[in-house]
Amino acid sequence: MVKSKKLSNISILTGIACAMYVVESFIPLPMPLPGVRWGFSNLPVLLSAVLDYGVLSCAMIAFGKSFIGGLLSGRIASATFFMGLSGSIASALFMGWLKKHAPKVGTIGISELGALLNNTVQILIAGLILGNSKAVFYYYPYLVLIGTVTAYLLAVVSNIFLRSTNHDAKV
Amino acid sequence: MAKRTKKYDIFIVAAILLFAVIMIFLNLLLPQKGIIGVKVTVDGVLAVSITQDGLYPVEKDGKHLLTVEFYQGKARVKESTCDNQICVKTGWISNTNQTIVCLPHKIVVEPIGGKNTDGVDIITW
Amino acid sequence: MRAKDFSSISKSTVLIFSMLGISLILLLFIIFSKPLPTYEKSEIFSLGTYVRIYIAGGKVSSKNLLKIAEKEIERLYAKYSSNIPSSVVYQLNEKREIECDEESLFLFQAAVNVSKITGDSFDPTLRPVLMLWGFDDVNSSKRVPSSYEIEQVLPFVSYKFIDIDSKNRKIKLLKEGVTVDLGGISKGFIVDRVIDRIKEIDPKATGFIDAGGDIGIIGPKFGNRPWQIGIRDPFSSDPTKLIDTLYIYSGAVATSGNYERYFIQNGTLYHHIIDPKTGYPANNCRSCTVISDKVMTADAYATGLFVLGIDNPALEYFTKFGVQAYLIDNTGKTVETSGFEYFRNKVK
Repeated sequence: MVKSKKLSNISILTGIACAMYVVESFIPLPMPLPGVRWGFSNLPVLLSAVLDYGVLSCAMIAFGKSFIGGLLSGRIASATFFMGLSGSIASALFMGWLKKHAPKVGTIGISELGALLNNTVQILIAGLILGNSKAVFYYYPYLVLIGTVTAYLLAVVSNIFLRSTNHDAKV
Repeated sequence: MAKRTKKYDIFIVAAILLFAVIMIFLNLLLPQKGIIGVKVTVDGVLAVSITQDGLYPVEKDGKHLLTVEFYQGKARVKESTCDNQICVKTGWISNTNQTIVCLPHKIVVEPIGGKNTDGVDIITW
Repeated sequence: MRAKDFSSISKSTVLIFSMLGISLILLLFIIFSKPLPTYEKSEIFSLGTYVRIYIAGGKVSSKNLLKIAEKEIERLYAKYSSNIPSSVVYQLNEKREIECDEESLFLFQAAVNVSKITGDSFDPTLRPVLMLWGFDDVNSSKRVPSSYEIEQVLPFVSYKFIDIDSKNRKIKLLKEGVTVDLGGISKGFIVDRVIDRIKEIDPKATGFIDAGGDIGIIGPKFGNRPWQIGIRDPFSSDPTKLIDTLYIYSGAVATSGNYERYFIQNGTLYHHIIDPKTGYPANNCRSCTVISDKVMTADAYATGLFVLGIDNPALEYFTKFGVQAYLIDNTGKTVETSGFEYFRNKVK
């Protein structure tokens, strides 16, 4: 793919991710979980992973959406922000890596594993911030459950996108 | 879609689900000892240890953050000045496997130990 | 495909499906297990003691039920207390004859019945004797009356001097000098009435009312578990030290103990459970716990059986009236009715 086209695509994806980041902070969770967000804003990150844009691109989008999205929603430098930032970047790196080095794992698998890593990192960071990891561990499995559902949805959407753009044919 | 959903995918999803559900199950099934008190830490530092029924306001640098209520072996955050109110919505905790967390205030309400008298509700005398 | 491929495919499929299956089952279990109801509590000083009310409403809010319970308790206490001028008891003692409602008739009749059945070991006309000792009121000064003083008032003590005319709804005191005090039974009666009222409003309510150790159960814990009730150790000054534990789904428990209300003079302990026949504190018992279906019954019999003491040969006979009892005397000796053990079992 032409470099500039890829760059503009990445920018578009980042923009979409930022918008989703802000919107998803308004959707309430089914149960009270501190510092957690839905994770829909990871869709563009997932897309860039499955579109073979590479690990670095994924990380850029993740960073971009957390940072800019945080600025837009006014929640920068808060616990939620750091949790989201670390989680997204770790997850983005992992997903990018998976696409390249684990061909046996499909879109759903990548999305699910990415979500798992995202949630795990978020919990670890929350524990660090509070200075008490045992406390947040109580919430961890509920977080993973919600993440599993969201990841599946994102993967389905990604697959629909891939099919309609006939991406596989190029690879 | 069939090309992109590989065999390992289902395995991964099943494994993650099972992992989470087992963790929840363990949490619920583990011997739930009644709590004799709670420990409230602010930013990792112990603010107050509660063993008597009552309302306990928690402050930092003169600012009121939230109020912890302890009553009959259960605890909850009654009110809080944080904006997402998740700590309040968590409600009552009553056994040693639960905690209440207020992330914006960096406050953790953690249960202390278990009762060695096994949870008598009422005393007749 | 080779046979080897088939077996490897089915093995992993089985594994995947069983994992999904297990997670699904566990998840459904977690989602559909009902949240436990939360109990609201209230504590008030009434009925001459510290009353703790614990309620979880079924269809009515717990807080509302608590308010209703509190009001009923205050109202009924004012109605039956011997020391409040507007009360039925005070009026009867003053006017010697009164007209009253069904509820009062019921209470007086019940008090008389227990007196008869316990051979006058429980008596509602004990007030003159109580006043000598100072046990009639929390604020009265306590002292040991002389045997002469006691002899002078004993002739006024007998339930037979209460005439109950249920047809005309009248109660009359038949002898000058006879006064009534329903202390040993009214507390339990009031708790029963309040519980009835609550169940009328919200049949699915659960919880209990603990009036200074006399307990009435509104409904089982969380709807299906027994309340864990500890019997206080009568030899310990620590009010949280227990000597036994009971598991009760419904009904009532009451305990009479010589450590509840007492004073010490010249090294001797004088407590408030007076033997109506002698005018002195009953000494053949230290603690008597009674389980029954109503708190009024448990309350009255706890007092009566305390007075009859540990060497009561007819103890088992009282189970005919729907009570199970457990007595401990001053030496630590215990005796109980045959059905009492049932309540010690958590799993019935």
